[in-house]
Amino acid sequence: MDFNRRELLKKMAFAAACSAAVAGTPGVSFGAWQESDANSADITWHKSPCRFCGVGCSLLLGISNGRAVAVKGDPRGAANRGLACVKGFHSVQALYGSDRLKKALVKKDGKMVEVPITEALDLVAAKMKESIDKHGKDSVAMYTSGQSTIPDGYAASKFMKGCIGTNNLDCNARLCMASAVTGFMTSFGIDEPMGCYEDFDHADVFVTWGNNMAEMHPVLFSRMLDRRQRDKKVTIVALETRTTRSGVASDKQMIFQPNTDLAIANCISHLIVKNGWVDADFVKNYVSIKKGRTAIEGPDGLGYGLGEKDGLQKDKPEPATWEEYVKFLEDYTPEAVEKISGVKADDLRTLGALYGDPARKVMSLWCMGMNQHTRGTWINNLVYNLHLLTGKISKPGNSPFSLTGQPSACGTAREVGTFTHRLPHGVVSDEHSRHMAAEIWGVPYERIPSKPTYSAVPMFRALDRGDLKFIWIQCTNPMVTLPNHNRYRDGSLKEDRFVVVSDVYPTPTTDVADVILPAAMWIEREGMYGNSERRTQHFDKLIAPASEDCWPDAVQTMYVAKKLGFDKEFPWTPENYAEGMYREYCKFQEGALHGMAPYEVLKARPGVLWPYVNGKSTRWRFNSALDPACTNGKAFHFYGNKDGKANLWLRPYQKPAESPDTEYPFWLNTGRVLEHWHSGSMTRRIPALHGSVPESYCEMHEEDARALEVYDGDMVKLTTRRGVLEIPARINGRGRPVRGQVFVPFFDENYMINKLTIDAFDPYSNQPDYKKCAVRVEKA
Amino acid sequence: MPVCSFIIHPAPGATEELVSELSAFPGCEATPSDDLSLLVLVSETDTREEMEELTEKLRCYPRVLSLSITFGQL
Repeated sequence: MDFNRRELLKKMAFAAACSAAVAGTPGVSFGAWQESDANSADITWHKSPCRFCGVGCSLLLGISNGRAVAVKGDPRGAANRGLACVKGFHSVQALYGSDRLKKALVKKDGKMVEVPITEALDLVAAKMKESIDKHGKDSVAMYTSGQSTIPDGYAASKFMKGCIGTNNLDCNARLCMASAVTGFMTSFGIDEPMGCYEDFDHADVFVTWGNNMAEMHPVLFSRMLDRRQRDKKVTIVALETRTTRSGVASDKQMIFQPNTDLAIANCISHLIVKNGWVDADFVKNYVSIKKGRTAIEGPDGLGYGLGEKDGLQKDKPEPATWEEYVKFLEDYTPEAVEKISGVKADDLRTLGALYGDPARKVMSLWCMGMNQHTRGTWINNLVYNLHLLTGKISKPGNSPFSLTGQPSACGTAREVGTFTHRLPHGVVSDEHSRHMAAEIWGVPYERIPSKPTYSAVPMFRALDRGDLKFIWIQCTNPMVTLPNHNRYRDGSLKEDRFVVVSDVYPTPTTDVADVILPAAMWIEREGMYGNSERRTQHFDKLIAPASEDCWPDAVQTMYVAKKLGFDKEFPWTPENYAEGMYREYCKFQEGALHGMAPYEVLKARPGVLWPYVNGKSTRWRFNSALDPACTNGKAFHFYGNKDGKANLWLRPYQKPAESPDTEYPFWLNTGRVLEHWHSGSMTRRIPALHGSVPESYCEMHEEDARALEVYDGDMVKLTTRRGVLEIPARINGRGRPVRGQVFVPFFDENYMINKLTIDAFDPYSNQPDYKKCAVRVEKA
Repeated sequence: MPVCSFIIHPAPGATEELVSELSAFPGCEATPSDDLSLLVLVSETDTREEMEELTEKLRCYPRVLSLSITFGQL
């Protein structure tokens, strides 16, 4: 037995090295590796999407003796074409951390005690019932994940909205993608990108808006560099607030002051209009000009999600004229915006000319920089404006492209709808959508409430206040990732709160739990993810879970639902639930707008784009030549909006919720690094990844460090209005902030940077701003 | 019994020679890439200390230009 284990480990070691070498060195191959794979009787290869980011790389996983032992990129995968990144190549090792949760734990007399999973789930059901009986159905909540599979999310949505009858369901995608959703909805009336990754093969200009793709979306970054290598006229422009690997690899880097992307986007629009680069026919036929609320203070003020402005607000759109729009843009001359943003007027003109040149196809790319923003909806709108003004949209290579962070933020959170305001089709406030859900779910229409309740941060505020008594957290680690998280940790620990956590490893979130439920992870069960480009990918159960008590989240939810009397709504077994739930979910999306690929098609292919209509995927939406959902008889049809047009918005530049001052003179920015996934609960258990970046750090500009007499590796003390953290300084590391700014990765629970971040958020998306708050930096 | 793997970039023209020398180390198997530009080494040692000693030895070994650890099961 030991011999087998050693051989297995050596195969894994060999495969990891070959994979990394092939990925990192163009042209290198290992015939011996391929040969050994092909000839090895005890390794079989199976398709699966990667467990980590939203790129959605298709992988081939090598399974031997019931264990996942090797990874390679799937050459059939349309997203990655055989590539994978360092996290992907090491992904299977995340299954085998020595401290996997294998038994359910229940708090008894202040101590966590192992119990069988069914006993723990019985307690969860009893506590949920007790809370509902005592405090009403809105006293219970679920908080799930953009890493939940489609069946996991579907089970949670049906259980909470269709069975319990509360909209107290939200997810961590609120922290990463909600502004992208509200951006799409306000501009196009329908969610998710109009283009697909094939745009990378056609674009001549790539503009990254505050998006370090080299580390966050490395495979797509490789595709972008490959495109440039093949065509010398391709230009990459990196708009960023600090120098990153993406900026270094770009043709032109433009550093801007935090939050001023709003002004930059309006400046480019100003240049497009002033220089006659507007595609007048496109604007006339396919664009509606709108203005909305702009006051910050007062009864109709947008605020910043702090204090009384706690919850999802609605805009009040009004039509605006072209003349109003042109006048609005007068404030955004290159010289004026240089003063606001720090980007040179000539650089802004260069950027304007790239967007304006009718001969060049432009792809705009963004992720957290634009979405984690107290005006995240607005900056999404403003970048769409650039593409609408120039008609550079819904055509191969002309593509505003919102990238996702998580592997199923699109597939589960946005499509299945694990947000408080969403249903699998449409929103809870829409009568038709509620009727559809009631009919498909077989529940009374009246049971589904029409009003959204708590988005992520307000959900934990409600737990802190005591409006929520019970919360079930699945597949996410909010006690590391929530902003200003001390407040929410303290709230979770209050006397009469009951916290249930389903996860695969111990985390700071399981530390606050009353019940911990061990979950089956990734390929330990069947599932589907949906990536950034509307591609749904299915994976089979390839290995046994870490223990018999590790159940898929959907099966845990189903067990509790049945325990509470909802047998009829969950007619599936642990063996057939994934197929059953997917088939039922597909009924919500039937039609040319969002038709999903049949289960059999998903199982057979590495991934399939939706809309899937008459056996074909729609690659570019809203373009009548390419999208069968267009029915207006014109070249383009923005069918998400009633008038068939896309909205071009007047959205001004505004300052963020908090800016540096004399007491807190630096900007604090936070984010990820290539090697680690989110809060690090999986990647920190992968030796090679943990060894590469073993702890977090504070990136500083060398002159700021010198002024504070801080040397690389010295401890610095960071203080904000919310907390204090001592952390090693990193000077001239892979990321280099400008003077007056610091950057801290959030993957390391030993240096909990979210104690310091501000829980301000966008009024429409409620997505928090992790990218900017004021901090004091001192030598510790 | 730690198992590790490394990517080694050898000095130009030294790959085959290195493969044969490193494969002679106890518990080590070296495999060259097809174009002989680099090699992969899988090691199995009795203790963590031996693994660390081996790593150090490889780092300083003549004609090894760079060494990256890609897998480590301790």
